[in-house]
Amino acid sequence: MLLKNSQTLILFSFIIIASSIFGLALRYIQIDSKISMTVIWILLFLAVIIKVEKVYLEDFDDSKIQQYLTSVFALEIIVFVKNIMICLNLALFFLLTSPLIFLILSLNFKYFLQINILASLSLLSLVFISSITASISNSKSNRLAITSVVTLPLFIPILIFSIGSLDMSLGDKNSYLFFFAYFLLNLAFSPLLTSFALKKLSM
Amino acid sequence: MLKISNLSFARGNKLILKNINLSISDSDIVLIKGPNGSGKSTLLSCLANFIEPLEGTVEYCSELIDQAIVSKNFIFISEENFAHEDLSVLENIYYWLIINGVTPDDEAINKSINYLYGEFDINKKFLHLSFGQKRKMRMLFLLLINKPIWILDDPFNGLDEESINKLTKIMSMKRDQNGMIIIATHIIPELTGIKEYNLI
Repeated sequence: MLLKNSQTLILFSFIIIASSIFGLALRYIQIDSKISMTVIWILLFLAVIIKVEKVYLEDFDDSKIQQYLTSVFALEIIVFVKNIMICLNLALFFLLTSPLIFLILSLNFKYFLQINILASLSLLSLVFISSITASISNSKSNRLAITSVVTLPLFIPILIFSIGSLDMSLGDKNSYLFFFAYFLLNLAFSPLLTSFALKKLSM
Repeated sequence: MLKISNLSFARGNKLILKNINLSISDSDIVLIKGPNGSGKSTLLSCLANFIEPLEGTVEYCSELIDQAIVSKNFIFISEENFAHEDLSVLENIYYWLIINGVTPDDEAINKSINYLYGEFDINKKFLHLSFGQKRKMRMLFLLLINKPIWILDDPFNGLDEESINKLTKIMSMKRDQNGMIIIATHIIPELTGIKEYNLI
């Protein structure tokens, strides 16, 4: 279920453990904050993929999709609400665990607020793109499941701009605007594609 | 009236349904019969517009069915449980009622639970219910959501004799209220005036 917080807790334990290993492995090297940002975003990306996949597997099995299709809400709206709830859930956990992650990765605390805002904004896009991936891999046909990798390139701009936002200095509003614009772009097609895939491939 | 005309459905190269013609009126209970793999569930899915037929049409009140018609008029109870395992029975009821656009009424919920389960802890997680109790929960929605057409896929499976009798009574009441019921099952309910349709 969507709000299964123990699952999110495990995911964030994974992020903390992974960043600790990274921090320990490179403790004799001066870690560039860009590398630390890359680590955060890659771990966040992995956490989102796992979380969305799990939620979609449980919340969109074919018997539940049948119920959603006979409900008064369009499947697109249900997908949108679920995605937003996943984002809120992950953003909250990131906010709670980020002080620890900052310490482990030796990131400057003056970026705390900016990185949290950037992470929350990029989570929106990450979740909406992952929902397409999850809905395709929910497919009844195993042959189609592999096609879900076609959505992976859509994650690349997020990773590039999250690192690039350091160059622009984190206070620059352009980096926020990019993530917001990218989210709006995803919002335009992701719920449609996700619900289309759920309807056509999972039934 | 629900009218199925020349309906065929294929999955891959396999033709599962071929030229199905059927007219179902209000107050009809139609039993779809046939051996395993004959396409009973597939036919129900076509009726509920979940899958597109290869050929043919399904009309409700002379209009081709679409999602708007289905969501306004149909309750579809599938073979599998659709409840969320980690939510309690009450939370599941609230969730699915809201999804169906029904404002939860505690009195009606308690009454329906008492009728189906007797003494029962509604705060119990769905995960911890027995197989039969889980199956009964699908029946709850028939009592709590008011739509004219019920499509039931193997509704008696996993139910004890007492629950089968209760479900039969609920179906009889629905018929008296001009409801239409389409069932795919191997168990024939003890009701008079049931129409049968055989899928070979």
